[in-house]
Amino acid sequence: MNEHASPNGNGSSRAPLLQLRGICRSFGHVRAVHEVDVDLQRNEILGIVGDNGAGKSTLMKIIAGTVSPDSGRILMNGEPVEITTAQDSRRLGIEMIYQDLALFDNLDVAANVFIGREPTRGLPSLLGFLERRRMHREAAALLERLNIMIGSTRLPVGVLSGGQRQMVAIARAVAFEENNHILLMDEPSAALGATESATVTELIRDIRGDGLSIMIISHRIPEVLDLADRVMVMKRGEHVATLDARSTSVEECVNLIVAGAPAATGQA
Amino acid sequence: MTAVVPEDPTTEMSGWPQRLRDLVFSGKLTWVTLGAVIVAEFVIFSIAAPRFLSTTNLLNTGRATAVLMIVATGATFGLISGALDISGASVMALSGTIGTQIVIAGYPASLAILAAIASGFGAGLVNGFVVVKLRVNPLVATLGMLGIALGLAFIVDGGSGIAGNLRQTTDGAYGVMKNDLVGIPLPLVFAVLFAAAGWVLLAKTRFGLYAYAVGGNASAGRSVALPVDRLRMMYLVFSGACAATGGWVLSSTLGGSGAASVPGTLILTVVTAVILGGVGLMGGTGTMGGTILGVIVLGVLENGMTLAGWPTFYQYVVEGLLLLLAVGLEAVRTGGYR
Repeated sequence: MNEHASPNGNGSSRAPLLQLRGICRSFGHVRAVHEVDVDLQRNEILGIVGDNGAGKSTLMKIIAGTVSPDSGRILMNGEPVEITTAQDSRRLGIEMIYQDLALFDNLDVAANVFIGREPTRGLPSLLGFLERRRMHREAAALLERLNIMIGSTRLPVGVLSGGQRQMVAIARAVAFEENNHILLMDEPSAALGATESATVTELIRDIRGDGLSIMIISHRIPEVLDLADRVMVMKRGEHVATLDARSTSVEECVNLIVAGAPAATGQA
Repeated sequence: MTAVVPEDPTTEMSGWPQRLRDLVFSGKLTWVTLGAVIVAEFVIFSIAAPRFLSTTNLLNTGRATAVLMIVATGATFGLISGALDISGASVMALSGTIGTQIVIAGYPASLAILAAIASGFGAGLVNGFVVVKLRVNPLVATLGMLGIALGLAFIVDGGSGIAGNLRQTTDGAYGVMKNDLVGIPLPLVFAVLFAAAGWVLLAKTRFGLYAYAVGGNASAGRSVALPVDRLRMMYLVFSGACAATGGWVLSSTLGGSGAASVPGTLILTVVTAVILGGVGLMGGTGTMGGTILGVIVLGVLENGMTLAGWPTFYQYVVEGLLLLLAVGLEAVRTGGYR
């Protein structure tokens, strides 16, 4: 039942969309991530579960370029890629939704969606004139396409509810579809109530149809099993197992999270 | 935008509730308040001092307030990006002194003006380096620069604090700001254009938007791959360059200046104007429109109080009180200092 990540097929078009090989990262004496291999297939939702401090967030930040690994390789479509900054990962079509959402409460919804990639006219770069009307029009169209209910794209994000903020963060992450689009989500529903959480889950299911591959960290194991195709279990920085979400159970996941191995008393 | 769920507080409303809410969110309520204050000032001072409403006096007020406008434009960008830059008055003194001494030494006015403004770039770069690389609180970093730039200004003018040979700097291009343009003092014309350019830059360009982004949530800025450190440095350099430009305009108006030509309390006026105008102390909020109105409030106040016969030291008290009032109102609005 436990299958470790398969060996990589170099350069072949059959190679997984994203591969991590032997990723290590320590903070002082703490091995946050140790010799981790991961494969993410096209159009797949990969859940990542594990206790606090299991290395889930660090692993995700390494892919997003905000934490650099001590060693290990990252491959996209079988080709090695260099991700040392957040700019690098964005350029490769990787978007991360942080646990704190990384939203600007003082900016309106449209500016939050477009931040860093605003359409401009006239002078180049920083002195370019913002095409505000276009930003509002396109942001509104995006929200409508994703079925996100927010009164106006002119509202500052600070006045929105938790669920609406979460959805603005998701909208921003999927606003610019590129090749190999990968979405990384760290606890997308941690701070949400039941109804809002269900809405966000629904949204994640919806955007998956748009050809996205998603890695999702969550403490809510039933939710992960419901949403993901495969579930990766981490413990103390190591990749313990990868399970098929359809055939595993909450108990099996919990056992692996706690014990780092299938329960001895079980039928494993 | 099309979906309307009535019970949701963030959905679109129509009519006056929506307009009222837009007013509050856009910061335009500050504009209305400040507009009312300016009207009140005009009423009070025109009664207290009959000369107040004369064209000559209003143009003089404009001339005297021009420098404040220029420096406050830079301080607005700085504070919105999260850096309260208090080195402005000293940078002005340094800029004016350098320009003056270069003219006195016989070099062309264009070189003097360039060097004067370049000194502000330099001061801003140092401020930016200390804030971004050494991670020092901007208030403390620019406090250091407040001392350094003023000291350097005295070193440049030989410790006298005054311009030296005034005649040479009064004539020619360096002293151009002594003149009028179709009856309007040139510093006023320059300041209006400067503020308008600042408005466009802040409200319409990426440079402006990123000031709000960096000041509002720097860590989110890093997450979405904005060059946060480089931007922070740029806003401090911009602030320094504005202060130096103000320094040259003052120096030019005076026909040359020394280290002591800039009143040290000017920075109190600059910071008061910017905060009165609605720029939050924590960064991320404020508008150029607010700063412009804040500058007018203080410029008119200084002129009116002088005409009404109040000594300068009373003006300091009133300005200080205004600053505390503005900061106090902001604290009430945002939950305040914890």
